[in-house]
Amino acid sequence: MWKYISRQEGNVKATWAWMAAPLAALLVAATGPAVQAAGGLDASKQWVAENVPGLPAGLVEAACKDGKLMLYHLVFRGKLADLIASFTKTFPCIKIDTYMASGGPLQTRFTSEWRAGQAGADVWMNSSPPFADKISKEGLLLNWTPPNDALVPAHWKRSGYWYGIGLATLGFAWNTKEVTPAEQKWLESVKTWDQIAKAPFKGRSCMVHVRAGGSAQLPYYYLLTTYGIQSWKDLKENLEPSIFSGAGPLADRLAAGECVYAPHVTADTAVATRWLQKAPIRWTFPEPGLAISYLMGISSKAAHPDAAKLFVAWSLSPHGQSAWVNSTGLAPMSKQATDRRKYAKESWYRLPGDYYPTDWDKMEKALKGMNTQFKDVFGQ
Amino acid sequence: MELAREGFAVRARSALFDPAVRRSHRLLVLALMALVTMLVLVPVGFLFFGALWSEAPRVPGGHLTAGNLATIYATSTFVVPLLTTLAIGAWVGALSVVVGTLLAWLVTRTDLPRAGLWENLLVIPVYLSPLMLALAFTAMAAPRVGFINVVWQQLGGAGSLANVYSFAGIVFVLTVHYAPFAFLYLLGPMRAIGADVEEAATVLGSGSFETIRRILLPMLAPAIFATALMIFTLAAENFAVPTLLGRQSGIRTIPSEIYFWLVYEPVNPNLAASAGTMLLVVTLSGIFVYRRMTRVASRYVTVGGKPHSTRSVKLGWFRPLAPWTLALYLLATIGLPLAALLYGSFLRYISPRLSWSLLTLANYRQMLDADSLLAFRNSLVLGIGAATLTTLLGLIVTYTVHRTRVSGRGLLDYISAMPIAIPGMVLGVGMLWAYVNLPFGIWGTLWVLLIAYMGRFLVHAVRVTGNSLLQISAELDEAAQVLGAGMVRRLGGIIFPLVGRGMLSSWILLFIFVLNEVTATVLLYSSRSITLSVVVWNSLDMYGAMVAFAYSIIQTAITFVLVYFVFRLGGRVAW
Repeated sequence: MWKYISRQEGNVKATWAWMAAPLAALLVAATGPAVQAAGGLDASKQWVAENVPGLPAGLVEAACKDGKLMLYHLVFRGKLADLIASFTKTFPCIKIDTYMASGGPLQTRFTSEWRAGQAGADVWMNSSPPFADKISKEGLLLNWTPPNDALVPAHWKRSGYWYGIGLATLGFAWNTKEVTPAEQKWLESVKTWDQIAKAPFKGRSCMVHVRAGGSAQLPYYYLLTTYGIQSWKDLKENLEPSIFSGAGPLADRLAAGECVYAPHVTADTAVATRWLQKAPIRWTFPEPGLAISYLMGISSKAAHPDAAKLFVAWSLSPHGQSAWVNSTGLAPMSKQATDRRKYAKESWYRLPGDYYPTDWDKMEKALKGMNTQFKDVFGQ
Repeated sequence: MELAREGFAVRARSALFDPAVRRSHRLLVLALMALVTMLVLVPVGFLFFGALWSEAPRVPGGHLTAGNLATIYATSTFVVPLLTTLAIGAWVGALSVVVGTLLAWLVTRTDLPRAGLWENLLVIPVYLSPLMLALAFTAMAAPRVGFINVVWQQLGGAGSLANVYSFAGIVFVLTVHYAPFAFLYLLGPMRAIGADVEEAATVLGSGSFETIRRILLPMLAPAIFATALMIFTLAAENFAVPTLLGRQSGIRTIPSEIYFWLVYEPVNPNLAASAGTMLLVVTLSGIFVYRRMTRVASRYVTVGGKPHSTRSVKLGWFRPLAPWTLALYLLATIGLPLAALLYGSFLRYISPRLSWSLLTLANYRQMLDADSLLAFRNSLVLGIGAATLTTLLGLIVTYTVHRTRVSGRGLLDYISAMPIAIPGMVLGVGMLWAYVNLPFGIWGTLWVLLIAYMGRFLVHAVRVTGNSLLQISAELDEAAQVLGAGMVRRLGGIIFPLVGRGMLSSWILLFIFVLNEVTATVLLYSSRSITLSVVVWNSLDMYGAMVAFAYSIIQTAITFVLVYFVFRLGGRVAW
């Protein structure tokens, strides 16, 4: 019997021995944090004195003692490498580590870690003001007001808790290769949101589902509260749109020409990414501007609180705001930022003059009803 | 001779009742129970807690509530998504098993030319994640602009020939992905059936078809049922394909609902946890039926104490046609999608047009940064580590369940099967809630992912090795026990080599599962433990599908090379 078995044994043993080897590698790979760099303290202090004058004198030193920062951020075009390089050029004593996810997982991960006493994020990002307000009240976000708080417009911050760093602005977009000159002329004539449903693209349009996050809810909410449910019905009847589960897949299919027109979509992020890849896409922002802010706050259990404070203060400075806008593609939320985005230089590109002052709490409370109405009107 | 065998069996059976043996078995079950509880029951327990609690765990002011369960089970809102989910699972399970059984039969029990080569080629669709397959088939069969429809229109056809945004499209894409799983699951059991029973049937006048119907299929019944159940739940809990392909045609499934509750604000993990329990009832009922079927395990024994040969059915006139049929099958299921992915990976953006100006190497350049290289390394380490440990654990669990008589062993079977019925995204939340407090600084390291993968995929190791173990007569094990061999010796010296091929199948499946796992990983990874699947997932949002295509091509190539290497080491390749 043993002989019979041993015939097969040789190969199998060799295989399993080979497979076991990486377990040793696992032990090695799962070891401690990286070593900290330091230096340039005087230059850092000087930068703070010139650009964020109200910041406490000892903060830079304390931040350098922290030596690192864990940033939980949303998914952007690119890897924030430019932004991080810009910060660490000024503050070389601080190393930034990141965790990236979309809004929902960021909320679940951050709150679960905080409540379990794990030192996860130092700085936490999201795009949901109601959620940020909720966890601020619960004490998850540190109550700290940076001296340059005033550089952020009131609508895009909750002073002392969270601050916007850029805007995901909504517009309508189209595939330039798939429209006729007459259709192009019509598209260029659209100025306000009440016009978007009158587009000549029946059966060739696409929209994002109302449940696909704040940037998807906002245009539906605006249309509903401003023009009533008929505005939704007009979208359905005039456009017969395909419904997508998110802006990313929609932008891919718009670039492919599967649909020609998207009446509302986050243009500077999802759509602009395809434009940068040279897809035949263009977009316009009707008035008033509809946007959600990408915001950040400091964890009240931050393991590196001083580095976190320095990072937030730097992000709100004109230098920081510009870095955020130009490395992520978000639209500037104030005139402090210098906009060097490639598409912002195009002749057809124009940001909205005014933004609609969304009541975020009301919008979130309206979501349940909007889901039902969406199902009634669009059948999903 | 017969008398001697019977006497041996009696002694062996009495050895099973030996107090010392029973004590060691009891200890083994206790140790396994503790391990499986940590890997599976703790995260699943947190999910149940979440389903019955008004807030996430550890939120002050939370209280017991039936509200979440009532929303899911006591309203009509989720009836249609549930029925759609079950229908998708049933269709994909049935079609995959039919295709997988047929392919496994062709490769193992017929005179198919170059069967070894086909065995390797037929598993390739498994290498691509369902998400990538869905994107590839979208590029091919999207209405109007899919490659198939563009060609159709250029040939003068009206409208669209294919529409991937449909129920049939979802079932097709999932079947393409899961049929090779059925093939892999059934290879071992199919191969283990000796020629003697078939020869006996032939001597008694049965034809080939009759032999398959009355001998082969009944002997494979537990393996086929276990495979169908497994694929049913895998297809039913899949969120990527129904979400990507079903939204346009208004198809809602439970996992696609869960996706919205967990990915977009405002998140509702408690409601997601409640919905995550829906498939559990179905799956645990299936496990119950499977256990009833395999209660008399000796009915399915095909490997006894004597060596056997495998019978080779003559394909006759179909023999020269068989390779062409398989080639066509592969072309439709993997050749065209892979070509679409490969072409897409060189495109700046998705486009049905063919033009040099659209081509770029930029998508591949993205892969050269430090994050991607770390992700490659982490994925390989985790894939190999988790596949190895989970297969070994799965074998020990399945051995305990089928070869010992200690009370409580059945519970092991049920517990290890639980994660398969819970959509990965929900299970990820349970794991986050459960593991965030792990001691020794484990949180945020590769170890958390290793633990998560072992818990999530243990069920596959248990089932695949179980399929092989059921066909090995207990008499071999019992004989060694009578001769004084301890459990470790018996496992290492008898069971291990005899189910070696089943273990290799399990290893390969788990390696691929781990490489593609993203829904739980995205909640558990850190910058140091980032994996390839997370990089691909994020790149979809960051750059669109093209970069993800490039990653998928490289991932497929790595998987192919590694699986080939493992096959060779295991002595399975016969090209």
